[in-house]
Amino acid sequence: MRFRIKRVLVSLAILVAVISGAQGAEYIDSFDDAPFAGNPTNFTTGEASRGLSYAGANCDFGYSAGNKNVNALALVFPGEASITITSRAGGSFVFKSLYLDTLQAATISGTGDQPFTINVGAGSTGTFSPTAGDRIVNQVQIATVDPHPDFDIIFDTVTVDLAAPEIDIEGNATSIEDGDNSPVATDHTHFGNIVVGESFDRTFTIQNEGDAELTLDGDPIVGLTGSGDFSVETQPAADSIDDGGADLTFVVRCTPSGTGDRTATVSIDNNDSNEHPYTFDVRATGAVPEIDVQGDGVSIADGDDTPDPVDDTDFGDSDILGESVGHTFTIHNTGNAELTLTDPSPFVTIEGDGAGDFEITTVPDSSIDPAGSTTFVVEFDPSVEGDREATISIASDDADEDPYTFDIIGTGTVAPQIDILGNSQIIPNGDTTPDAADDTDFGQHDIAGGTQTHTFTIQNTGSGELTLDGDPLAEVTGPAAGDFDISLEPVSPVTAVDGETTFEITFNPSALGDREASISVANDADKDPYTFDILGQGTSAPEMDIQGTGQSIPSGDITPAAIDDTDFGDTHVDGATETHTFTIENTGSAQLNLTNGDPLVVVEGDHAIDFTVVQQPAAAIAASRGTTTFDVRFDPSETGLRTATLRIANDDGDENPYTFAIQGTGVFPSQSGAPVFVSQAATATTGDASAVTHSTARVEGTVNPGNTSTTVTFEFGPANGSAPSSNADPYPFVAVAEQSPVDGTGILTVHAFLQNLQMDCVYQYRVVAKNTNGVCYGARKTFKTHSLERGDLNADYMIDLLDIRICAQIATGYLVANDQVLTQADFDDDGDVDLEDVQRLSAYVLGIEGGEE
Amino acid sequence: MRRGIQSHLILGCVAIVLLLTGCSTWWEVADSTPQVLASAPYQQPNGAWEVTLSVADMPGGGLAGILVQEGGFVFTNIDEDSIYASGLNGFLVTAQDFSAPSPSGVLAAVHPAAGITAGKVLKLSFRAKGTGTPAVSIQSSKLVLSSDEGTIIEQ
Repeated sequence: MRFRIKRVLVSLAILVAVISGAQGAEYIDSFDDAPFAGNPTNFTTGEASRGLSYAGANCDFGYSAGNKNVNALALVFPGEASITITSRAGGSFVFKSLYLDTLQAATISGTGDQPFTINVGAGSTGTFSPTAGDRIVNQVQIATVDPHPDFDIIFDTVTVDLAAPEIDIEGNATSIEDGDNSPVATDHTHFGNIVVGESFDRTFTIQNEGDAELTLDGDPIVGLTGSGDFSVETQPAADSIDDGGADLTFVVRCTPSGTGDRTATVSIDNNDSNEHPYTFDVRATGAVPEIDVQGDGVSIADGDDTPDPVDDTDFGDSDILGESVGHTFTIHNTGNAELTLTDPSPFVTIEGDGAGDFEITTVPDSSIDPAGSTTFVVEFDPSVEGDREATISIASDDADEDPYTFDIIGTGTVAPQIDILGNSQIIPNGDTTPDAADDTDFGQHDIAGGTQTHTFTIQNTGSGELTLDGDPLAEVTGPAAGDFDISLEPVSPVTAVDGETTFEITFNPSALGDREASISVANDADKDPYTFDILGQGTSAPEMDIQGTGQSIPSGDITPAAIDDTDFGDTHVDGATETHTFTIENTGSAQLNLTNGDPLVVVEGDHAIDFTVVQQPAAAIAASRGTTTFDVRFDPSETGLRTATLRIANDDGDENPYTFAIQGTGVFPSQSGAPVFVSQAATATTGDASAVTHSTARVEGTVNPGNTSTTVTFEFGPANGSAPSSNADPYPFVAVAEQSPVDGTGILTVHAFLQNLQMDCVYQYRVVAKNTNGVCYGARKTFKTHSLERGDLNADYMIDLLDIRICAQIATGYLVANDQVLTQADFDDDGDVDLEDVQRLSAYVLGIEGGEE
Repeated sequence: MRRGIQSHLILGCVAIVLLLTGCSTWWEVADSTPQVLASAPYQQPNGAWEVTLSVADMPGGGLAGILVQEGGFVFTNIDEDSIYASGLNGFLVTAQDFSAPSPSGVLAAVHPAAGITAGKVLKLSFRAKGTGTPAVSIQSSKLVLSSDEGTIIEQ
């Protein structure tokens, strides 16, 4: 609060109104009822002070117009001031001049407007502003213009503005009232909570809001009384502030020695007229933090070494491969000072043998306000089986619980976990919806021998060993259990952590329709027994096959050949015929029906007229290899190649109609007209060898049977030089020609396949035609078998995966090979065929390091 | 190019791999042709990944041999140096090479004793690289399969 102190010191000069008048002397003694003379008078600025008067001999005005002087006694102006003289009565006069003299009586004459006029009327004023410095008005000269005033003129107001200091003190930029004894935080007079023993400072500002120098005259400048917990840490830098001078500051420190309120009074002596000394109270509260930790809302005593589920310090059981268990703990600050956790982040430490199995996953705040709290989360993830113990430790600035510790415990457990997979898909335990996607649906299979095997995997994803304790380990039950066979049993136990064993189920339907069963695997895991349903469908269908000379003729065959009787050969056009018999076999489980009606076998094609089905088959052929036959007669109407197609409509699911091409060649019986059916000795000409391998060759020749059934063979043997030995059978081996026996009169091409030949060997061979009329030998010819490359174990002139497998079979004893193959398989030439040979052969095939150089 | 060899022996069954992907999908084939399937890549507790290969409907007495030639494997998000193949159910991995900087791996495996019509045959173990999902695929054109009867199985 500011006060402006107006000090008016008026030692009234004697104002003498000189009322000039033409007649008679006027007097001016009516200024005041109680005039005084020569006594200083104090005024307050702005107040209308009446009573200015005059006294003394020098104040006697004469009755005449003109100037009169009034001698002032003591009007002191300690500083800059102004004087206002007001005519209360409103009389018109001329304030002709005002003389101000110093104490040394130096006249200041002519200052201001001289004369200045105060007009008639209330409130008329005249103002004079002397310069700074102590002055005494000792004479005022007033001149009137009316020599005969008939009214009173009362100069009743003297207004003086004086300079003075004005002190104000602020905290937090807020003025603190002098004498304030109610400290508040807003102006920093209340320091708040301060931890006991710690110090806290507040800075205050001293201002001079007056217009004269403010002096701070205390010693010390800022004094303190009251609680000894306060001290002036920093005194003002100076003991005065000039008018307009810079503010001064001082610092008060509080260091609570105990809890509760601490109060002191600040006092500053100064020269402010009404705020001396300037005082105000300061206050602080001694405070301390207090830690308390709770689990599940229950306080855990510092040092607690008995973990309990009630306060979450016992984490209970947890599988070592399972999900971790998290518990949340709350740190409360029940004190009135901020609680600080003093360890580095995460501010909470875990110690002890089992510390590695616990982890701080949520970090608490490091500072907790009074009455506040923060939380942290501890995750328990056991690495081994059994009790896992650790100690939580929380360092803080709590005075008597640093660190705050308590024990925690959890128990690691192990257990098996079973899953069964089919086709790499998990089959849910109790599954009753067989599905091909997980192999529980075996699909459709013919009841006549169709089987399907599926492999299932028992997987143990748990942390403990899995024991299959059923007998059998995997059991098939249900209405069609007999159609499902456990063709491969699983193995028990199954090791922990993704151990697995497999078993196989083979489906062999005994009846038509859906065949359902259930699989049950008893075990010691949580899904005991593990069951799921399986399904298969028994089907029945016909399956058609046609054979000629015992050789199957594929449906759609367009390449007639003598070997399966689809090529009827040469037949004279003069009425000769050739009849071939074909067999229809039903290899399916249902009756096969020929569905074309009459005829059942249809001949189609350009030369269909040359082929006649002289005996139709039966329309129904029994299941499971029932048969019927039909005969086709070839009777060429013209020479040359004659072709047709047989078509047999039927109810086979995928071979309807069953078709195949047939052909024959019409020939003239004789061009010369000579008898044609003369029996002769056969002739034979040895042809070339072809398709020679290391052990086989194809040899050809031409034969004229001489119209007699002729046996055709090829004789062959090692050449052992350029000519056959004279005393050894040069042709120890015989191969019958594929076409033998032959008959007729034309030149026939014959051939045979020679097998079991020695590699890298020259063979000689010849064709031999023998009939009832004699034997004819073709000329000798030769060929040389090939040699084999190392590793070509199956002698197909390729070293590939098949050779790797053979080598592995030899190395592991599954295959006994002859010396030739063993030599080929001994890839590293160490005299033995072992796994190293397999590896080297594999590397050779793959073209990577380790193969044969 | 010459590279190192790793080899292993494992007793068990046989299988055929026609196509392996990291998406655990069926490779659709016509009836009576080999069916090949692969498990989705699954991660072991130690962080390693595995893919298991299985087959079904193998002709010729079952699968007896498998050969993946150069360029046959395609690895995505996989550390090639960590790849290791092992046989299942009797398959013997006779040669394998997945080492960098090879653009892909090669592998040979056979079953000495028998052919397998249906069942697991191989397991590929590896570690992932990068942040994407690991995936393995085999180009069927680079794949050779043989049967227990000693014939090449046509794909």
